[in-house]
Amino acid sequence: MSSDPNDSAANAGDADGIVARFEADALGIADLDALEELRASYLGRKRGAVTALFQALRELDGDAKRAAGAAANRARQQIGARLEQIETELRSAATASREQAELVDVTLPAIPDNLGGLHPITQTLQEIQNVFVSMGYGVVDGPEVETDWYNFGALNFPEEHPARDEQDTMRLAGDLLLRTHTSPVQIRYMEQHQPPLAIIVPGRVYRRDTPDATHNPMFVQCEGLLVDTDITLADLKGTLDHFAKALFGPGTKTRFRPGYFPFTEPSAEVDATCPACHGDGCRVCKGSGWVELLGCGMVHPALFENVGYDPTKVQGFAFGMGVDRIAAVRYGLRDIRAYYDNDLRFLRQFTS
Amino acid sequence: MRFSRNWIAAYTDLPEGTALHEAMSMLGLVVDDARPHGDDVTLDLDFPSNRPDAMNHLGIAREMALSANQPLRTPTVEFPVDPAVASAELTRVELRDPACVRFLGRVAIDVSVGPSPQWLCDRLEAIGLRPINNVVDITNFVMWEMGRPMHAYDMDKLRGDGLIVRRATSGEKLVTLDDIERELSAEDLVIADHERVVGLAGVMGGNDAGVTETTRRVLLECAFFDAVTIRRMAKRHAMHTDASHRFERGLSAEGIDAAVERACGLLHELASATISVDSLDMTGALPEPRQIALRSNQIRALLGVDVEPTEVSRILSGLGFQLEATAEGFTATVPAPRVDVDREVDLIEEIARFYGYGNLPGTLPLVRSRTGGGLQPVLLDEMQLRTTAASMGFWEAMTFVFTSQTEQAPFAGESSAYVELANPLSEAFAVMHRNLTPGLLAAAGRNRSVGQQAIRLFEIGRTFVPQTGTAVGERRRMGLLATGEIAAPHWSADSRAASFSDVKGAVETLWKRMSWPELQWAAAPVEGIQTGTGAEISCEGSVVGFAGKIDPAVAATASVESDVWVAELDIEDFAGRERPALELAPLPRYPASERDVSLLVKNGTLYAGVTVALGAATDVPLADYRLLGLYEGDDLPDGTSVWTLRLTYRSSERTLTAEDIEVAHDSVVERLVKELDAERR
Ligand SMILES: [Zn+2]
Repeated sequence: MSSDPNDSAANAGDADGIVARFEADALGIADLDALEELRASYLGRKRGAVTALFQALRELDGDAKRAAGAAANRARQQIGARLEQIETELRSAATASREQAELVDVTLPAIPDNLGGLHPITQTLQEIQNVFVSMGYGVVDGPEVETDWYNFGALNFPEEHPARDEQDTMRLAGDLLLRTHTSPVQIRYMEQHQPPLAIIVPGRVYRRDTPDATHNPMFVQCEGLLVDTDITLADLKGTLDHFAKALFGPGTKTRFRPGYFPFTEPSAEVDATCPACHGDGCRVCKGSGWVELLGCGMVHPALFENVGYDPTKVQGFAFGMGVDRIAAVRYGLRDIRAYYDNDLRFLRQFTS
Repeated sequence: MRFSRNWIAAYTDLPEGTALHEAMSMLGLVVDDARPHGDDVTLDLDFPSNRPDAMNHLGIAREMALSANQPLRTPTVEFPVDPAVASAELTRVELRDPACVRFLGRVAIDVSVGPSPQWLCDRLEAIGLRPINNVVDITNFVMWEMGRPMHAYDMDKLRGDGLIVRRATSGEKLVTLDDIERELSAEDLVIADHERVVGLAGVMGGNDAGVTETTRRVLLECAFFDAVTIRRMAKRHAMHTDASHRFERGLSAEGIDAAVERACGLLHELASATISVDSLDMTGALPEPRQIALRSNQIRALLGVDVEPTEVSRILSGLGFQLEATAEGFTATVPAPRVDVDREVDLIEEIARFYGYGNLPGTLPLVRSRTGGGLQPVLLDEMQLRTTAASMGFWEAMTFVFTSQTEQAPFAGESSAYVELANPLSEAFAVMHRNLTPGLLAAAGRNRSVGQQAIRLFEIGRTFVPQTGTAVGERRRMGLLATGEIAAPHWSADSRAASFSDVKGAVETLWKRMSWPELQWAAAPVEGIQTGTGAEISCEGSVVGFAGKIDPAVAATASVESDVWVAELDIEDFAGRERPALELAPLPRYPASERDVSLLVKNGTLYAGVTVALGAATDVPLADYRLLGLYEGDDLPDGTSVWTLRLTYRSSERTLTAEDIEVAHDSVVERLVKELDAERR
């Protein structure tokens, strides 16, 4: 660069002096506010020392102007770079100190949950419902106080027959009783609706059993009823096999044995491979590898007659399961009185 | 019912070990238990109540043989008769009641009563019967072999000429074989001689005419009595015997002859008896044999599989049905003992049973329903209430619906009527509950007794209210209970005990979740609730429930010492309601401003006054308000406290100016001060 040495020297001297003064001032900068103040006093539009150098260029021309301009630019660059450096340092120091101050112990316990939960029977019932609802079944309920007719007569229980004793009944006044099963709802529903129909019926039922490890005077059943023109026992097998697999897992097998219920003919008892041991035998299945799942059968024609259907035109199947017992199998529960003790130490284990 | 494996095996070959149980269960006979008994096995079978015909060793063997396609070895019966000995000349039997449909009597003389041979003792002992003497043992043996109850009388102990079947006269007495004196009623069907009752028909014989070591002449009785008559007698006398068990399930008039022949053969063989040449056969009106048409296409329609006619024939013939081929299939004549078979479908069940349920295919039907799938609205609502309550920290309880008046009365009121059980399990379960709260309180007590401190429970269930006559009203109710800490002490917060606001908040949240009409809360005396803490909850102008703190004296009866806050609501009229259509509000276009105000109010002032004051403030742009703080400090004048409210102002038309807000706020505060008789602080 060639210029007037005096002029350029004088300007260069001013610029160097400003840079040197800046360097000295910069040493004391401890925070971003002070930094902005510093920036303003050197690069600020109004009172910046470097800005003044540029303003002074207006008084010069020729080589002197070029030399002084170069020196001013150099000073602006040096100061600018230094300011940027200081800012970066200050910002990272501020971040570090904030991070230090706001350190979180991520292993500290969380704020405790405020969750309650659903009863294990409700949870199991929900799963049962889900299986059948996904197949197109409706879910309905009915009264818990029933007449003798709906609980027994309409379901083809002969008058004064021991089959009635097998469901030891809690009676109220007159011919009213606490329903011993959810099956009366089959009759009530068919009386109100025409086939085809597909429903399940969950609900509480009552038997005169003293509470012990395997009995309660109150428990929950879920009934199923499918009526159409051409439903077969093979359809019942297929449906319940599907249900067992959905409930206990795809590896589950089912076994149909002849059974007796006044309201179905043919009737069957269905076992499923034990979900605890998958059929090898364990304490849940008492070593047999099988657990009783439910009772079922083809709807007895007498029921169709009792509700005004033509039994030569419709066929259907029905099934009924003890939700308490199925839940006991699923959870390996030994004493089903626990369901109605409502002990929170028990209930809290069924996180849903 | 107990059976002997060896005894069944005498008539057909059986699978070994547990394969036998498997084979039996696949026919519908569940082996509940199997215990070794010497070289025999005692099988405890769960017998379906519709098969009295098969509740015997030969009956089981018949089914096992048919199922395994094995031969059945029926015992041969051969014995000499003495033409000089005629039952009809030695005695008489008179039927005076139609409940005895048939009575077969036969005389055996020169009977040597003594112990039974070992094989017979073994048979009886294997099924839990005690051998008595050869004659009694033979009657028991034949009942358990062929299923026909039978009785042997010592003819020389009978007074007058033979037996009469009649109803007892009220007050007559009989000492039955179990040495218990029974007082008889006019409904009891009895076997009597000409002076006294000697047996309860179809239930148990009497001591007076029983066979003992000195007996020489025996009158065997095998009869068919009406099932209901026997059932009522057995119930009336609380006597459940092997005989009554069979009669009340239904036997038949046929099959008696074979059983008596069998017994006579054994009497001859084991007691060297001389058997009479004839029987006294007293028979009333016998039913015609039933004939049932069986259509081959119906077998397929019901089972979903074709069964070959030869297989149908093999199965039904093997069970004793007589078959005649028809164009559509068969006509089957039902063997008399099969009282369970009277429709085509019953025949098809028999075919399925022996075809093998396991051999049927499994198919998934096309599910068609005129009524649609999914939960009916009331069940959907109940489920939503449950999940909402659970998400608020309440655990679902299930309590028994039967309870005692003592437990219910504190909440139902002393004068309430209950639905009573006619045959309760115990006094503690004598009535149906009207309220859920007592059950929840009892559950809280049990939890307290096992050391649980923070207890929050809810239940949804039916309650039962007597109506006119014997009618019973069922109401769906929901109960909530909270006691102890709502929040346990924790590093992030202090503990807090349950309060009225917790149950009120839960109830309101539930109601809001269901979009049910708004609830009104009014201070009111409530049964079982501590005075001054009770609220009556109303909806649409009717009382629907209550809330408050259980009277400490009542809580103490359940061993709960801490404050127990409860709410209970009748949801019968709400669950399943159609939800109101959602009215979507546009989002606010202009900003809101908040102003707080503190008011010095006299204690006893109801917060409801705020609602009254602000509910009427429709002329100011008040968008929302809430109670921010309640302060009761020593620095306040006696009997006062400070309420701090936060009020939110917003206009839907423009941004409010500071002046707008000031004007509105002054107006609102003025109304509050007036309504609450408060002082602005
Ligand atoms: Zn198992």
